[in-house]
Amino acid sequence: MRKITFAITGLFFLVILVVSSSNKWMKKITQYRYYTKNVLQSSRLQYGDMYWYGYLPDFKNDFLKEKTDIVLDKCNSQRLIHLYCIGDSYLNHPLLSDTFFCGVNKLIIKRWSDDIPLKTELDTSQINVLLIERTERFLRGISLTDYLNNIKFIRKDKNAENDSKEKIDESVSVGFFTNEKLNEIFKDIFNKNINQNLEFNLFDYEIFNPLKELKAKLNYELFGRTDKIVTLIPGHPYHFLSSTVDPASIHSSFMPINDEQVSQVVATLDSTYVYYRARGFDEVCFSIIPNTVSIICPDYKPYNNIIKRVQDHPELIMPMINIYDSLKTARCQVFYNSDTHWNTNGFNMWANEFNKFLVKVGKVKNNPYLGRVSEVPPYFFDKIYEAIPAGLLRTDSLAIQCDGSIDLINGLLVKPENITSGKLTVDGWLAVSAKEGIVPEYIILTLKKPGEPLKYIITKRNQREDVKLAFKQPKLINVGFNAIIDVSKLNGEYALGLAWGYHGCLQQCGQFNIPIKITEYKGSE
Amino acid sequence: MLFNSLHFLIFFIFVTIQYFVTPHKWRWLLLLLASCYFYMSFVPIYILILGFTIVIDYIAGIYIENAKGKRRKLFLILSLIANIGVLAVFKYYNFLNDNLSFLLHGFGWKNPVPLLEILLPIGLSFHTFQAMSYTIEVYRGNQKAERHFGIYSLYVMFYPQLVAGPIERPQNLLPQFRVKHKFNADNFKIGLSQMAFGFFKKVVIADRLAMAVDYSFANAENQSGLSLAVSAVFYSFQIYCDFSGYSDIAIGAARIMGFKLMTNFNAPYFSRSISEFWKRWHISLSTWFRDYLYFPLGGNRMKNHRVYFNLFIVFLISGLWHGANWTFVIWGSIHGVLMIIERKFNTFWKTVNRILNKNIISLFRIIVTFSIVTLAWVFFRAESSNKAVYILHKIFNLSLIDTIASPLNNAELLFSFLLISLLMCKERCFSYINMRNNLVFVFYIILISLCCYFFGVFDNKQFIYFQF
Repeated sequence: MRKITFAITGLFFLVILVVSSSNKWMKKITQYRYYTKNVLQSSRLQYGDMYWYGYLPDFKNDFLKEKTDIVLDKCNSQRLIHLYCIGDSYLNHPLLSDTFFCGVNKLIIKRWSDDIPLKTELDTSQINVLLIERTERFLRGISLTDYLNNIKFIRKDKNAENDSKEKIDESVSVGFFTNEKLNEIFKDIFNKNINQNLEFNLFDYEIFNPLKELKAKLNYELFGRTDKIVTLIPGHPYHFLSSTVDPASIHSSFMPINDEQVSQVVATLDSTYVYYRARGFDEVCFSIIPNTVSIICPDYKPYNNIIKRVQDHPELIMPMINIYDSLKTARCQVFYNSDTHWNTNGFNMWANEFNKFLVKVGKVKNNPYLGRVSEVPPYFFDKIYEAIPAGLLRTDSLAIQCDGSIDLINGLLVKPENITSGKLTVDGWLAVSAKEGIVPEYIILTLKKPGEPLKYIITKRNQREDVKLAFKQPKLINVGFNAIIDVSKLNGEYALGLAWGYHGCLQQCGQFNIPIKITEYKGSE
Repeated sequence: MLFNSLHFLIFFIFVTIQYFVTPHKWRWLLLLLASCYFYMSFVPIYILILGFTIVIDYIAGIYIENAKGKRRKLFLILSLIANIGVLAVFKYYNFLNDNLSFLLHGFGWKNPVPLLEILLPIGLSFHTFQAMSYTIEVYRGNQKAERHFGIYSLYVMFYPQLVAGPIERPQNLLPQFRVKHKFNADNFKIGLSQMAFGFFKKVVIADRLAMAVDYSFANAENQSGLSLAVSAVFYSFQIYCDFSGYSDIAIGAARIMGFKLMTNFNAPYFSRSISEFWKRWHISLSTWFRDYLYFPLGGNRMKNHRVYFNLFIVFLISGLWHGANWTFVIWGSIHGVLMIIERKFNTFWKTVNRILNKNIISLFRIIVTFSIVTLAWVFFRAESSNKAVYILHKIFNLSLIDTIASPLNNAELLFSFLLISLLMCKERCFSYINMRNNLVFVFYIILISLCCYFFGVFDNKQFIYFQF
């Protein structure tokens, strides 16, 4: 009898160990326990993640009783947008669906926490918009590859090869074994999160909360200590995430940041923008979600003001969804006091702000070739660079003959005599080798004027069925490009050229040297 | 897998239950697999290093036993070279290389030998010493070579004492793997209460004191002399509670399964001399050095100057054993010098003891010994010898005007002193509690568990001795 009892108890603990080690199982269990309404519900989403860490009873909100209604601004746009989001838990809202945002008919969300990149094929008949949402605390110390590795672009044709960049990314996953499945099993067996998982599976139940609250209260009242993840600031009825408050932490609102570091963040965002635009997104935008402490008590210590400094940076080309100002001036509570996240009010404000952006994108995309420069919002233009953004391509080499063509300039088959609208649009295609079906990573337009530095415009990608068929190379479907350039500040005779970027090198194409005359746009024509 | 983690608790319960359910002939396999999992949960790849030393020493043991004359010695030396070689590469290579660079820099030369980017495998010094004690004992004829590879592996890898000791002797541990242990209520009660007290020492005392100590040592420049003195005292108790806590958990965990590991600590801060301190502190290591280094060097049967030399060498190496840093070398040397001084004035102390009241002089000696040990710990804890000297300088210029800066508030500082007093009181007055009495056992376990839960600091802080 004793042996049977021992065996059953041993089995129970084995099951607990195995389940808590398995990432797959834990994902399922957490998803279930976060959203279930029965006794198994985790306190994390019910009462707030900061309560869940600190267990201070004074900071216990029952989210189940909170209203989740959202009042969105009126939206008359046609639903033509495929919205891709790279984001985190701030985008978690029960109402969020494919048609939640203005003009959006399909919503695809990729979480930062997902190890596997989102595999997608952009539907060029739709407006493809990418939103990158990042919290203020994770804005620093993020490399360009962290931004670029989130989406893996697949091609219509199964035989087509993916970009070389993506191939490199795949080969990066190195583990104990060469076999990926074995690596997964190995990772599970020696799961680094096992303690948190065990705690979650064994003790994260309502029944244990009184005991946890007693401990938290005792330690706070006696020793003034809370869980190290949580910080309380006297006079503010909020739980703050310690890493956002501690000036020594890179996630902190109070860790000083100099102008050079701000420029680095901006350069990374710009390169991200160029990368995703070059891969076919009609628009890419970025949203920084402020730390709670940056909104509630930025005077606690000298605030580094990173959000404003990035958003107002003169070099920034990445369109930003500015929520900081709205949250700052909000008259209602926008963050939970027992959670790191914004409440429904905060999310509602952000959604409206983002919708304004989507409305603009939808309108312009309907006919980007029409209209003068003043009728197109500035963010819709492809930026003119005096130099290629850092980290993307190496310097020029000698010009060669390329496979490609500039088909349309301002929508016309023949070159325009004089560009007076302040807007230059260019369409065409370019391959590294049409015969071998090698597609460049970047297709770049150049504008050359004697006595001035060469100007670069990184184009957006589109599909060219005709090129694919003409060369009988399925890979060539992705060699199309187009660019909309604001030339209102330019004046004089230029030579329009073309170059491609591949394997980190920039190659000028010698045969493209189309003279165009640009007249400075006065705004009256 | 840290002892002070939920992971260990569940793992331990599962393995212990499974141990008693599994037929005796397969128990070695269960424990070996459990030990592999335990070790690999730190850094999996380092199991290969452990595997290497196990294979070498297993073969060496058999060859030593079978060989005669000089060949016995040759196999022993080969095995020792392999073990010390692993230690040298992983623990001392970068240290030696750094010092070589420093020396060459003095002559204006550049060191062509590159540094290695490697992590020190957890508990390397512990299991290497345990493995070396096996081959030495086989060589001396005190231990038969183990033919069962699994059981020999288990001797090196037995999970309770794998990463921070006690460093066992083959004569004590190896035969126990062949004994059929049945579940025994007394073993369970004694083992569990020892584990519970180990947890208490680690999570309630050591990790609480660590908050103040870490802060003070990291910000010594902004600390007053008094604050640093308090931190030094706290560190003495932190390291004691941390390490003896680990030993208690290890010994207790093994005891529940029926294994008896050697005692590693015996109220060391009640020592009246440095030599007594070393008889009470990390006993398994000090006896290792005594048996395998001090005695072979001639021990204390030699002339005085040679005995002093032996003592100094043993403590110097003991310092180096703890870590590849000059701070450890200095710490070991301080103890070596103190041992020599103590030996030199041995007759003086005996005379003083005779003349004065024994209790008063004992108390005085305990305080002096503790103070000296505490000051020496400053070298052990500081990041560099310069910083240690700086801290000691500040401590000796005690400034009572400065405020005590600490992440602990006054209530927690007082609570920390209370905990230290309770610990000392327990060690002095209640060193033995009869756990065979069910009522006492239940009360003790509940009390310790509640204290651990409500006052424990659970921030997954590693045990200090894991780094060695």
